Formats: sequence, C-alpha cells, structure tokens
Amino acid sequence: MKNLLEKRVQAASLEMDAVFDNDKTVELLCRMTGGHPRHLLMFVRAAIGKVNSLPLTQAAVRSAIKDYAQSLGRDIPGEFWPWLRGFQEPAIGFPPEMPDHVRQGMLLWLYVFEYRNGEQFYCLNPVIQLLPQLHEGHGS
Amino acid sequence: MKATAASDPLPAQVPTEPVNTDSTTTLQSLADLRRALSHAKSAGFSLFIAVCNQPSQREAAMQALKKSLPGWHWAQATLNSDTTSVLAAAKAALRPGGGKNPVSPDALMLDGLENVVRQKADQSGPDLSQPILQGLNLGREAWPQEAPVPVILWTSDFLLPLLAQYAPDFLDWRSGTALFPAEASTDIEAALDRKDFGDHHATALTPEMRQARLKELEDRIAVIDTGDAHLGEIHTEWLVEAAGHAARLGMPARAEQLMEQAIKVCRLAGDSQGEFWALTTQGHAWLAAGDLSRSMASFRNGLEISERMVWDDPRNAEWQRELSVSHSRLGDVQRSQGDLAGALASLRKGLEISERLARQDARNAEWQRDLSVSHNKLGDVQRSQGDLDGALASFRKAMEISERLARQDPSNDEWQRDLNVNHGKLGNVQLTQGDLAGALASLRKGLEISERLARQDPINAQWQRDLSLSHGKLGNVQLAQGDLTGALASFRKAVEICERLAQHDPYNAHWQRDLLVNHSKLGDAQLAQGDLAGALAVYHRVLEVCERLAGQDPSNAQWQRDLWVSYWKMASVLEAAGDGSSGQWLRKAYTQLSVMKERGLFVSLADERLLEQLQQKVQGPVAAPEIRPAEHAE
Repeated sequence: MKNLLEKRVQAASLEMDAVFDNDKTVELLCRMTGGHPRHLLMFVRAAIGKVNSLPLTQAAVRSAIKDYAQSLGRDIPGEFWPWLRGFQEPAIGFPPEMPDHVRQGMLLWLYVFEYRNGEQFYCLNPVIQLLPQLHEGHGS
Repeated sequence: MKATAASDPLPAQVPTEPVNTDSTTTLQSLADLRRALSHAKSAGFSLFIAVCNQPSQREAAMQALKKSLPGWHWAQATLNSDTTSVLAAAKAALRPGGGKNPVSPDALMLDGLENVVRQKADQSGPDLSQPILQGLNLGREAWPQEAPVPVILWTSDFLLPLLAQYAPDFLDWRSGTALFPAEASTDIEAALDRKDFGDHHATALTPEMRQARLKELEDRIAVIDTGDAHLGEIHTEWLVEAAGHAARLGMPARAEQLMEQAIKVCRLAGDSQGEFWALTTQGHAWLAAGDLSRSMASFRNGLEISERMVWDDPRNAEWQRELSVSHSRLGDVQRSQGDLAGALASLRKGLEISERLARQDARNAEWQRDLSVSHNKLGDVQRSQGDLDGALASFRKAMEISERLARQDPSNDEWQRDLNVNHGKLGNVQLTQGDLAGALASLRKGLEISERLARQDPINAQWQRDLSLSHGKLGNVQLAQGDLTGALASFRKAVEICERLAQHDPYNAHWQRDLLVNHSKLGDAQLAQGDLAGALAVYHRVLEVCERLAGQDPSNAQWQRDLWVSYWKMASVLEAAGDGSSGQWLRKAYTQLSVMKERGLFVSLADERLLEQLQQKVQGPVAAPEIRPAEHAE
C-alpha cells in the first residue's frame, strides 16, 4: 500500500514528505484500508478535504476515516451485526450456519476482506473495528 | 461473489479508538464540505456524499454552503418520479446555457434521489434494488466525462444503505462524506446562520460552536479573492461576524483587528454603506464590552458617514433614517457616560429627523417606530435629569405610536415588544411619582407580553432579557408596596434569567450589569425582610461585579456609580447587623463618589445631595441623619 501511495505521489510530482506529515500517518492510512487500494485513495481524497494545505496530518486522516466509519455504520443491515460481532479473525472460512446472503453481503459490501496471501483467510474491515455497534451490542 | 483480493499482509492491530458517532456537528460538516469543494474546484469530477434527513435542515445547509463559497456558479438537479437516470439529470443541469445556468457551473448539487427510490418502491413493491441505483453503479465510468465538476449528492439515512448495497462502486469514488446530524431547528440556525453582535440568536451558540465558526470564517477569509470586487460585501460580512465571535470569546485584540480589516476593505472599495454598517457594529461591540470611549468613536465615525451621504443625496430617505439613528446611538453612549445635556442634544437631532420622516409617509411602519423609539430615548434622559413630567409626556407619545402599530398588525412581535418596553417605562415613572397602583397595572401589562414572547422563542436573548426586566420592575413596585414575598419572588425570577444570559455570554457587559442590578434588588428585599445574612451574601456578589466593571472602564459613569452604591449597601447591611466595620464601607462610598466628582464624571443633583449626607455621616457619626442607600440605576 505504501508503494502505491509513493507511486501516486510521484505521479503528482510531489515528495512523500510534502504530502504526509510523518510515516505514522502513512502507516495509519495503510492499515485502516485493510489492503484495499480503492479505500486507500478514498481516504487520501477525503483527508485532503480536511486540511487547508498539505501535508496531510494524522488528525486529518483520522477524521476522514471517522467519516467513512460513520457512514459505514449506517449502511450495515441490522441482521449482519450478530455475525460481525461473532466473527473470529483471521478466519479461514465463514460459519456454516451463516446464511448465504449474509456471507455474500459481507464480501460484496466489504464488511469482511478476503486475503489470498498463500492460504486464503478473512478479516473484518478495520474500519468496522472502530464502530461502537461492534463492541456495544447496538445495531442488531 | 468475491469482493477483494488484497495483497498486503493482515493488519496487525488497529491503532485507532472507537468512533464517537454523535460527535459530528453540522458546523463541522459544513466547514469540511466547503474546504473539500474548494480543493476540488476546476479539477474535474469528484463526488461528495452529504447525509441529511431533515428537508429544512438540508435546505439550510445547501444555502449556507453556497453562501460560504461566494462567486461559485451552482447547478442543481432535484430528482423526481420522472427521473430514470441520475447521470442524465446531472447532465441536463450542467448544460451551459441550459436550465438556469447562463454560465458553466462550478459544482452540482443533486437532491431528491431518496424520494425517487421511495416512490418507485411504492409503485413496484418492497424490492428496493431499483434500476436507478444499479444504473448509478454500472454507469459510473461516464461521470468524469459527463459531469466534470464536484458533485454533491444529498442523501438520507434511508438512502445511504441502499446506495452502499446497489451502487457500492459508485459510492466508493467519493472524496468525502459529510454527515449532518439531526438537530433542533434552533441549533441548525445557530450553526449555519450569520451570527453577529446584534443577532439575538447568537446566544444559542456554545463557546465550542463559536470557536469552530470563528475558525471556519478565518479559513474563508484567508482564501478569499480580495481582487474580486463582487466579493467585497461578503468579505466584510465574514470579517464583522468573525470579530463578533472573537469579542464574545474574550479576544478583544483579535476582534478589533478583524473589525479594522473590515472597515479597511470597505474604504478601499469605496463602500460607504458597508463601512457605515461595520462602524455601527463595531460601536455596538464596544458598548457590549463596556468600552464607552471606543464605542463613541465608532458611532461618531458612522455619524460622519451618514452626514456625508445625506449631504450628497438629501432626498435619500434611507440615509436620512441612518442619520437619525446615528444621532440616537451617540445619545445612548452620552447618557451612559453621564453627559445628559449632550445626550439630550443628540437625541433631539435624531427626533427631529424621525418626525420629518414619519410625517413624510405615515404608512411607513418602520419610520413610525423610529419616532416612537426617539420619544422613548428622550424620555429616558428626561427621567435621568429628574424631569418626570417631561419623561411621562415623551413616553406617552411613544406609547401612542406603539399602540397604533400593534393594533394595525397584532401578529408583529416587534410591535408587541415595543408595547412591553413602553409599559415598563411608564410604570417606572409612575412608581417614582408614587402612583403604585398605576405602576403595578402598567408593569403587569408589560410582563404579560414579555412572558408570551419569551415562551414563543426561548433562545431569543433579547426577549429573555425583557422578561427579566419585567420581573425586576414588578418587584420594585411590590417592594414599595411592602409585599416582600412577592418582591422576593419577582427578583429571584429576574436573577435566574440574568444568570443564564450572563453565563452564556460572559463577555457581554449588559448581561453582567443586569445581573448585578437584579441581585442588588434581591438583597434589598432580603434586608427589608430582616434576612441580614442573605442580604450580605448577595451584596458581596454584587460588589465583586461592580469592582470588576468599574476597573474595566474608568470613563463609564454608570459603572463608577454602581461601585459607590455597592459600598453603601454593604455599609447599610453591616450597620443593621451592628457590625462596626460598616463605617469603613461608608468611607469607601464617600471616597468613590468624591473621586467621581473630582474627575468630572457625571454626578446627578440627587447624588450631589447624597454626597453631602455621606460626608456628614462619615465625619460626624452621632449627629448624622439616617439616610437610605442609593439604588443602582436601571
């Protein structure tokens, strides 16, 4: 993900130092995408809107991710929450009792990411981890 | 269906705390959206999602957003049941020369998609997987070419999950999501509307909201194109508003800097109207901060502009009116400074113009009202001078006009308020003249109106203040009648309101002084009841405020007077308690009043007499006559 960012920054004839205030900001950004390139660019675009001028600060990145999290919290259908709360990551598969439409929805709408680094496994979208509904039993 | 094949390793640990989903404010969302749009201008297509459920709030947010980006040309498409493609609707709205756009728009607002989805669901059943949403997803590649501007898609909590389900790829193109949480209408107004010194809704802003608003305005001011003459007015408006927030946040130096900048912008643009407005606002701000000298300077500069404008265009009635009001404002400050002769002269000049305008067009309600206000202000000075008959005559003239206006338009709150003010002024004079029954009747009529208005709009600070004044005045009559229980109850109600106002806007000297006056009255009632400890505690609090205000502006005759009156009240309660320290408070009162006189500050004839009595009491303890302490002037 960091390489992707570097390439994109290079394409804009900029330096990483000029675009991000420090490496921790870049690291946060990459981690919260869960490895999803589209989300990486979405977060960067949203973070740009949070500052008057470059570099992007960690606060701006957090704020952009928070907006996405709030939006995601509103998108997730109620019946998905019990499954999300019970999701043990990393998982090598979905529980057999999970209905098909829930399993498909989890993947389609990116609540759960599928990784294929050698062995196939699944993890929750890191942004979902930020939602209080996941921890407090709301939304079900 | 597989969604993602990511190559990066599993994230080790999420280093971020849970999201507080309630923390987003309308103000912040608006500021973020404005900033993001500024970056996105002229950079082709970009998508912003704005989530707002309430139609009125959405409308207010749209208007505020447009206002925050002056000089932008907007396209707007409101989707309806005929809409089959969102992109087609966007294209139609963006067509140069088409629709309502004479020029190429800078951005596009899309609204109403949730209604389309709902209507179609009503027609075709509960399945919401509609072609319009799926079309949005499938046709996303065409947007950069067909809609090469920032697009704000307004959605609701109902629509957002459907977009996420049926147009997830389109949604993932967004450059930002602005959430507008549901708020009471007053909060939205507070967050979105312009808030300046005189705006009664300003008290609805919390310090945090005010801070955020100030920052937002400063951000806008920093990037405004000062070379664009069309933006001069909005530039001034933002500067003046920012100055108001800075002043209310206790940053007088910043406020002054912003105001000076606003005045400079107007001068450079040759905008006399704007300069006059900025100076007037500045004068009010200084008045609220208790700085009479600076307030006077601003109002004088404003007066000069209105005089010049009237000279240039004598037939312009609006400038005639501004000139009249300018004289009145000057008179107000002179009265506060204790320069009653100067105040009377200024107010008479204002009255003369108001009379001429009112004669010119008897149907112009605003001009009639101006005349009523002029009579009232004149009456106030006459009352301060001890000319009760003159004051009564002026107040009656004002009342006659107010009653006429209220009869003509009973639903007009402003006319109702004027009636209340007039009842209060008449009641005060009746009380001074010893007509307690008359005073009680007048004040009860006023109280009834102020209660009604305050109920109607609880965040209107002016109406809340009116209610506290009504209670306080009624308490005065009850005290004079010997109805101590009634008086105590009235003063307590007044204090309660004043405390709320003072707490919310701690840098507003008007509220601080109202609070001290009503507290002092409460102490008087407690003293009359024999509750010496209660009265002493209250007088102590009053003294603290008086000392602070008097130290703040040594030229403010009213505040300097408040201080010696407060010393005297301390002396009177301690004397009643048989406390030997009462003498030292009396000496302080005497010294303060003597210093005022030496410094040439206004001392009324009545106070001159009290000075003599104080001198006797301080210098000859046994033979001194028993005298009642003076009162804080209202």
